[in-house]
Amino acid sequence: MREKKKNSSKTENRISVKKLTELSLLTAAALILYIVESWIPVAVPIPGMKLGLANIITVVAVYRMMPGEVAIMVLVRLLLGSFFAGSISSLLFSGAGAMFCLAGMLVLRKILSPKDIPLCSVLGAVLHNIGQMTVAVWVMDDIRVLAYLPILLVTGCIAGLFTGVCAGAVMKRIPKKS
Amino acid sequence: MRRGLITGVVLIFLISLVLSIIILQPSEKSMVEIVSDGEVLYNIDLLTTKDREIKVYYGDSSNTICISNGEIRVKEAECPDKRCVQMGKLTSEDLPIVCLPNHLIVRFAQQSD
Repeated sequence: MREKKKNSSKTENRISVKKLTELSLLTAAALILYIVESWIPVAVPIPGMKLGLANIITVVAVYRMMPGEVAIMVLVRLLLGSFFAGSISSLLFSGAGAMFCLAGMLVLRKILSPKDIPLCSVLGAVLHNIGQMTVAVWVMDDIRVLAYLPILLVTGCIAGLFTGVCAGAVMKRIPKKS
Repeated sequence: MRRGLITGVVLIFLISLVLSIIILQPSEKSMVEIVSDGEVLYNIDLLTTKDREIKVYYGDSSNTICISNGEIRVKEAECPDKRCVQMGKLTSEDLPIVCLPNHLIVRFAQQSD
């Protein structure tokens, strides 16, 4: 919390209580989705494969918040999520994926209107897969691990479409920012 | 721009789908290797090896690899996700069994003789 305030005071406009509450709520919602998802068994056991429900919140935040605010939100969710439901080693992969995904979606937000949120989400998922595979190849020091990428991309596109449609539905239901 | 992105996504999806199908083809090879942290620890011929279990350590945690009836799989793993155990026996030549937390790879060896 303190860090959020420090960041915003540097960029002249202080973060408002309303904004802080909204960010905290979104972070909490993402964290809950992340933990609930860890309880659901995966149908196809491929390392790194995930539905990525918490991404629903990330996509919503990308379209509602300032880039810096989304980044802080995702970082907090990643850290707390790995404390509660993941492991430190998985943090490395999901962290790299999340950063790729976030950077891509923040750029896409400028190009794509809120109507195209599912498309933005799918592209984010593709970037996420590329990010996590990059780290996997680096950690395992073996290029042949890359064979996982096509399979992750196929499932990632489907998962990204699903979370994107969900995010679109969520966007419609929360009131526009004042 | 929007159309370009949609075409791109569809292309990525279709190419990945085709590649996935190719990658998931079962292998005819019988030589497998067990790699831990970038180092080949074992070279095993599945056709001639008797049933056995191999324990591979990485730091404090370990994976138990089980060979039986000419098939190899990870039987037990001391890691949080157990994905390598769930993957079952090794079938595909291109898709190794990987345990990311323990830096372990079980795969078919590249050269066949």
